[in-house]
Amino acid sequence: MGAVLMVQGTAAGAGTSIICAALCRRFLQAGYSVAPFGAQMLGKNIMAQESGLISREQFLQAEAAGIKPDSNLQPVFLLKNHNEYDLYIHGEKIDTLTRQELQKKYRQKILTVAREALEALCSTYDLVVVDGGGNPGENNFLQQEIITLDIKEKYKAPLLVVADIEWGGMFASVAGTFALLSAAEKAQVVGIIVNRFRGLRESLQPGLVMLEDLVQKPVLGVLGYYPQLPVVTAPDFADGKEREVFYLLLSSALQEDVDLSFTRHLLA
Amino acid sequence: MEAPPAGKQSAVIMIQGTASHVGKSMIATALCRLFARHGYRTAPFKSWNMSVNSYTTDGGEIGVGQGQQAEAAGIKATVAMNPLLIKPSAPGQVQVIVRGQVHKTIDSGAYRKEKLHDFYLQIIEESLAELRREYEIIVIEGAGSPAEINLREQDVANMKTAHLAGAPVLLVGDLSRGGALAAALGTYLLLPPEDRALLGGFIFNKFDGDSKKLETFTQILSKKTKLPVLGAVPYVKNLGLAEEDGATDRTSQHSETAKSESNRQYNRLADVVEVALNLPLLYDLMGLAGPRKESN
Repeated sequence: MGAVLMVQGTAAGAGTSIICAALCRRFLQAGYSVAPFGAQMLGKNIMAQESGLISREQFLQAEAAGIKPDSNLQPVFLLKNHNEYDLYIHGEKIDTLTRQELQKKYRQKILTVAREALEALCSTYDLVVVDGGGNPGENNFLQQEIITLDIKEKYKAPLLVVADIEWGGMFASVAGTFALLSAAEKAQVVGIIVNRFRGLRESLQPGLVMLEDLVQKPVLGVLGYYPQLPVVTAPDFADGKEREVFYLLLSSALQEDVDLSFTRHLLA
Repeated sequence: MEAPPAGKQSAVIMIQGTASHVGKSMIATALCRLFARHGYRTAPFKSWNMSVNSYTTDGGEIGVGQGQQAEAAGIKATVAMNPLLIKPSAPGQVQVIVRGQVHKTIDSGAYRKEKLHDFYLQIIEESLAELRREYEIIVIEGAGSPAEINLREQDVANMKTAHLAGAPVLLVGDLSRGGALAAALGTYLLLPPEDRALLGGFIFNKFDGDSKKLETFTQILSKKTKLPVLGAVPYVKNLGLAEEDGATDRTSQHSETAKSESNRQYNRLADVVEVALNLPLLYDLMGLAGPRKESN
């Protein structure tokens, strides 16, 4: 049975997709078989693959993990369709409905599909890296339920919290996120990764020490700002060779700047 | 319009944010127009600004935001409205602009280490006093987040300005990216008691109409901070107003078409905010009874 590692942001757009891709490549390089899993449900940038539709974020993570895109990687997603949502299960459109109808009609189905897909990945790979998207304190559709039910409770997945510092307010977003987590959720957090930092490290450092004191969790690393990242919304989405360079860059950034020693116990 | 009685201190309100780009400028702009429409002589103030763009006044350069807010308030912008402007001038260099004029050009690394604190606070205090002699309401805008615990000493733009002005502070959070509740609560939690005491409430911006979520946020914040949510401002699209941190110059500042278009936008903003916010509470925080006249 493979291990599960969970990544959630303090907000949407904090950079969980990219950090999951980096983790996939890092562990691939370390000799493990790795798969990404998208618990994130609301999709924006969808692309067609042999296995059906997949979000660009999961495509990128699969490529970084060196595996073929597979509908198990993101078994359920929603695309906004005017005031309603198109529901896709395993890459096929099932229905178009409102958020409330979705909860009523498909809650059980979605949870079952997500659970089975995750199980399938766990039985195949050494490690499954879960992209949990935005803030764990906010329930977006059924995403948080999937995460809480299975990933946190069943798999006891350690949780990495990603905090974006680009526009400031990072300390507050982390402090607030921790204040809103239950004791059980907090116990699963292994640490914090600060993302998109472009200032002077020595001026940030005292703040990180204060933050660690405050939330009683370590800041595992600070990642810089990478303007060369492929933009998932861009029509060309970079080319394959550029993406490959980018995975290597991300992986080495993780290796240099983030303390991942907690995974030793996870992968033992 | 009649001048206020001599010696009467003007009312103040300060808008701070949980991060940059949450919409502080927009809300301050809307309030400038709204209070002006309500019959108050209103002026904007932002003590310290870091921006590539600037707005030209008779006395020199100030931040674009305060230039626009002065337009929204229907007054002429002056250098007192943004007395400190830090303007990146070349890669690795910044101009320190004090009351409209370039004070010096220095290396941006050196800027971060400079101990200009007391000098800055003095400039801020003088400029604020100048505005308070002339206007009835001062709408003050903060910069970035007030809870950058590594920069607390250097940050003159937020709580230090609020204390100087004795201003009640409204904290703006951005609902569009998620994590807004965590950001609002976390900002409160990281402030020392003397700063928390200045907080008057929260405003959520870029509201998508999910009233259930808003209600939950309001309840949790009320329970954990005892502070009210003054309202949720819907996402106002394509304002046509220049971005503070944008890369383009606002050269059309004085053209007549641009002026009338801006004027329409200011009214639209004020309309939105007038409906979205709890105005009795807002006036109460400022120590005023309410609008002097109906919004027109």
